[in-house]
Amino acid sequence: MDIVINSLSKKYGEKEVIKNFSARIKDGSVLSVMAPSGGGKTTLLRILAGLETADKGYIEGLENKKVSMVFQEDRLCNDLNAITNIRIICGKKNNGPKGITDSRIYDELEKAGLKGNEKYPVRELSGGMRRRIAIVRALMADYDILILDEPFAGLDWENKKRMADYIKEKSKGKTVILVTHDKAEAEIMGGEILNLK
Amino acid sequence: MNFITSGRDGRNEDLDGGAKIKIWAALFWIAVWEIVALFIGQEILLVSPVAVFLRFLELIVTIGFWKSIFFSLCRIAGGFFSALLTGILFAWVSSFCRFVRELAKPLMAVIKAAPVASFIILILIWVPSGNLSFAISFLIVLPVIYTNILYGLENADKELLEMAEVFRIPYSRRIRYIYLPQMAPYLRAACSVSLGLCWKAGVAAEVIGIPAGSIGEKLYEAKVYLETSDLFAWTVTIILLSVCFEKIFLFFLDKVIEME
Repeated sequence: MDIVINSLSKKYGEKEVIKNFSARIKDGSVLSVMAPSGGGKTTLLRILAGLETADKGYIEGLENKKVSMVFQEDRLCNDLNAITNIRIICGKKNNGPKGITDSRIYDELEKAGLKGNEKYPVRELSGGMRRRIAIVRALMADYDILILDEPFAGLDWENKKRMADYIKEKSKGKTVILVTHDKAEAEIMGGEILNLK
Repeated sequence: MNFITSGRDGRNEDLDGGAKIKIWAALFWIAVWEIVALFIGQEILLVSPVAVFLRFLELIVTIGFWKSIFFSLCRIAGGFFSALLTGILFAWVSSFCRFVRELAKPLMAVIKAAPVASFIILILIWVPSGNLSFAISFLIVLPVIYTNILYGLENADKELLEMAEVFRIPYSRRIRYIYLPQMAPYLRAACSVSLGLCWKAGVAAEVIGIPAGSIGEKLYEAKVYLETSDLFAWTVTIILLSVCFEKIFLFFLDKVIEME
């Protein structure tokens, strides 16, 4: 089912960060939303993730959909290692059909270029590594809609490419909504690009 | 409201100071005590540390000594653990229910400000003296735990809580990985302070209520019969109990906090 955003508006005090915004996001598609800083990108994603409510307008097509998200900040538990940070969202090892084993988490971290760094507390890792862990975490969650808030911030171009390919591979068939202020980042993700005005 | 702050890892150097006492410093003060006792020369006024040690050795081989320890330990520790559970639950409810928080404010303020002696006398009217130290220990510990845990909960990382909300992380895992690590410094500091307080207040209550078979009763008898060596020997016992109880409890608390 497509996600339909209808005349969405949101104010913080006197400042209207989203004004009468409408869009249709096709089910299983990739949409990159572009806007300058302070243009309401993060607010839009927070509304889609259910963390904020709009003042006006409504969104259809989110009912019973599971959301996963890469936040603007990494939002990792600093004292825990990458494996545990991912285990927090997918639970303990289990042998059932949906069980995520440690070896699978190791594999995913390796794909993100994090081999050898799995067991360090994330506070000891670089900003780029932490960012990639946040991306792997979001992709290992059970979700229908993937929301990415400036997911490539702090990554060099090589890692941006690597992570964009990784996201596209792991999120095939799922709805992906990305916000960025960098057109090149929107382009490497493919899909439709929308300017939030 | 006051709350106890602590270091990043929850270990407050001042509160944990017991472990850092240098042996030479302790020996210095024991020597001062011995010299002053020798100078006074009257055991009834100030007994020497040697005499206290000898009396302590006499006491620890008696069954009555261990029975008194068991009696007081059960009640004071019982009061502490009950207050710990109640304080955590109460703080948890207060963290999301403004009504409960507002309701608790005057109650906690009164418990903190009222003289312990008033509580002891009042509780003596309500409950048998045997359970007095339990009630007093509970009342002394409750506001410390409540205030600190509430502060810890209110200051939990909102960004991580939002992350948990988006990823639909079960509440048990939120407690284990988000709340507990962030509350640990407050919980540890609160426990460290309250463990000392509950022994002080609990034994004081026993001295006033004189429940049969308690440490407080032994202290009271020492006072009545002017047995200064008994008074000091029991005081040393209470200090040892308080310190050991605190160390053991904090050791297990740290294990729980560090557990991944």
